[in-house]
Amino acid sequence: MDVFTLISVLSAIGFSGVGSILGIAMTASVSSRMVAEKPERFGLALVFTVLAETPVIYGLLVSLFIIMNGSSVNDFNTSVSLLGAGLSVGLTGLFSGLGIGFAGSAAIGAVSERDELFGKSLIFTVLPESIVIYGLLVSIVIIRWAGLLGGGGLHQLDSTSAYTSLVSSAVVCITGGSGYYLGKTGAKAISSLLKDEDSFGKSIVFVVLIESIAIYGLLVAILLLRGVGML
Amino acid sequence: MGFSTPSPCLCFVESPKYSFHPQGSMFRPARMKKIKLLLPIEQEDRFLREIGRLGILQLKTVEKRSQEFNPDANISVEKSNLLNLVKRCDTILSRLPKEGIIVQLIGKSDRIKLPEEEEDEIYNNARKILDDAEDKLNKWEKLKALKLSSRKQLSLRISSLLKENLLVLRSIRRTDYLVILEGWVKTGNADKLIETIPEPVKSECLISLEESRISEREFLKIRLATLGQNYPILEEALSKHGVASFLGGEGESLKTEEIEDIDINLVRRQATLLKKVLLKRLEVLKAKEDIVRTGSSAYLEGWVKEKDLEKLVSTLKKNFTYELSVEEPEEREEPPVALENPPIIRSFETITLMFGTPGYRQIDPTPFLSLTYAIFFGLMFADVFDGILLLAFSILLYRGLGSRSLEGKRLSEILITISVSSIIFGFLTGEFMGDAVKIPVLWFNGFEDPMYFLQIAILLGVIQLTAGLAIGFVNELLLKKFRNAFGEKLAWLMLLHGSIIILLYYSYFLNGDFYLYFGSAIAVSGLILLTIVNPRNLMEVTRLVSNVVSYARIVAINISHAGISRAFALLASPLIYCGNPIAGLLAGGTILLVTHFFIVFIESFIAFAHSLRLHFVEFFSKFFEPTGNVFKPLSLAW
Repeated sequence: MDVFTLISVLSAIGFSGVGSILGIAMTASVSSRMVAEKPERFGLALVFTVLAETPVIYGLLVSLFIIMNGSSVNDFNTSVSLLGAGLSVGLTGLFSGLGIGFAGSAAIGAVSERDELFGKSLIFTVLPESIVIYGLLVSIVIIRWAGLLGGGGLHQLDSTSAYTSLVSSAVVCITGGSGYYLGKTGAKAISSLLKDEDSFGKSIVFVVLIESIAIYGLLVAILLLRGVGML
Repeated sequence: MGFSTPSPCLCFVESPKYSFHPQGSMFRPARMKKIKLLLPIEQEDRFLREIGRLGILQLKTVEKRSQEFNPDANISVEKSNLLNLVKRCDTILSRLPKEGIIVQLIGKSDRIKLPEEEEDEIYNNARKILDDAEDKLNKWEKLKALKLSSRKQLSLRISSLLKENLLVLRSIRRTDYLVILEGWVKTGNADKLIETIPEPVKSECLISLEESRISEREFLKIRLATLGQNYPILEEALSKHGVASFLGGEGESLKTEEIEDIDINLVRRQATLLKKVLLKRLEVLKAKEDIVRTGSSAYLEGWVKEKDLEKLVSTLKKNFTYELSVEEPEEREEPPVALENPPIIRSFETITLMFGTPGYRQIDPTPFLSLTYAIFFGLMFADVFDGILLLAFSILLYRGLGSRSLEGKRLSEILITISVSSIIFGFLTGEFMGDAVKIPVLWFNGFEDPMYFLQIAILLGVIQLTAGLAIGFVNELLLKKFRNAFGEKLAWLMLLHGSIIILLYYSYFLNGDFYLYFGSAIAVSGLILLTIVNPRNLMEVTRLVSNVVSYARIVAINISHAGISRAFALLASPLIYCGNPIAGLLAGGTILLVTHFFIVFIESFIAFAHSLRLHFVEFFSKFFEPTGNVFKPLSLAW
């Protein structure tokens, strides 16, 4: 394992871990206050807190793949590709965790007042969570191309695929920054649900506008990867 | 003709005319009829009760045209009385100790069915029951406070004794050979106490220290057992440092709590039951507010499902003098919406209603939703073992939560359906605890072949978006908004499919230039149509792209599930193949089981939420306008 591969493990688990820490910290502090008042809503609060943990699970998954199957990676191109994979899930996990923190704590607040808002506020909390899933998708494509997934042994990568993986992961990471704002707007939308439940259909349109930026990023990344034959 | 021996005071409203149309199909809300009914005023209460037990009629507020139709003044007085009683019930229930979370989730069912006479009895004795419950609750709270304060006193006394003495003795028990001392020692002084025991005795002593129930921080409970012959030496050594005896001890001074034990669960049961009865009465009162009365007759309007009309008429015929008129809803009216689906997919109505209620004249998307929801969840959560675990959990939930509330029942039914789907997709993709157990792959394995999976996911997405736009097209036709139907929904469909044909041409799935021209023609004409109808639509073209790409999440979630399962299987495999087959299988199996509980908990939730998102954001946005009101019949059934 060379230095880039090690850094890829670090960024996969590290960044997504920080995202999850911040997300859980936000949701858990609201949850514990809410559960003290309404212990019967424990399960609902737990749902949103657990959701904030998902980024680090995806980060863990990618780093496990690299650790388990990438111990013999020594060539520069492969390790740079893997760096892309690690960064992609790590940074999107960071933004996603933050977003879930904002939206999730608002959702817990809304659910503590009216538990029939659960489904609607869940949607707003899942939107920032999508960001890390896009990052994970790009990571999986890269890891698979490098031969760490799906058997068949390690591939010998050329410099084109190395740089393409790095660039496409950068695309997903940068557009994944929308996760932060998805969380913020989602929290606003959830609090407006408390005032008027019928605002859901309209406010979701606005919030999804932000998420579509991340989807364009994913689309560009997929097209880039497909352009060099990695997909 | 549906009236029997009209009494002289009743006048004709309209000649009753109704015919039975064929039922509204599965894809449409139930067909509603508007009824207008005139009854003698003394039959009004009985009618409401009988019809309430059937639960088929939703009353509609009658427009009061004349001063003669005054609402009954007694009703508002009675209503506020009832509300006060309900408030008292709520206060009692809130003062009761909270039930545990597990009990709430899985817990015992407390569904009670009462015959009408008992219901009446409870209602008539409401004040007495409340007084009784409050009295019991007060006593119970006093006892609780006493219990706490007696504990506090005890703790204060022990602490003051411990200030001067090393040990406070609670009891000394002697047998022929043994002496057992029990008492309290200050938390910091435990070591000092043990040190004071002289050496030859210490080796023959058994000492246990544990947290005291009275005050765990300040002092510990100590038990000291030694041989009878050692006791004099021990006594001498201890008395040098001071021993106070407090014989009688913890148990005795706390005995007050057992003097009169109050069954707090009985109070809870009574208050819950009473609240249910009161809320039913409140329903009746609310219904009465919608009725107008003259001196001798009552007039009401309401909505009833077409298929329930016969029940209504036969009830009326049996016991009442009435005049009934049945009408079709008018064009400008929006009748309440009752979704009607076959039992197997009925539970998915919850998900539709979570987003909003479809309009009366629109399509009910539940049948589409239940199919795609199960498929998407199954694909994201494809694993035979995890599916079985989830199924077991859902059945448990169905038996607990399901017997208590309709929502709980519906939710657990959804969980059962989608967990069966994930078992099916587990077999299709050959996943059993990841790859821990090898089973044949019947279709494809998402983990081994993600690129094929991606194509399947996008294809499913296109199918769902097409379905959504097609439903939207039909909806607009039903509402007779032809401009929207052709200019928006159909144009979006043309744009979507035209672009897909072009894409397929460029990725060499379709050969021949014909497809390029054909696709472009469809896409471009769709785009032009969209622009003409509303230029704003141009901005939303990119949203269509993001909608399609969004379905790629199915792949990512499936692979993350499969990947985590494989990682845990890797963790367990060295144990399973450690050489000792029984111990290895036991240890490895335990690890697998525990980790899969974790996986089921987290991944099922993610899959559930993201399936929900795909439906709410991608599917429903294509056609769903929640303009309807849910049908809420007057229901007094238990």
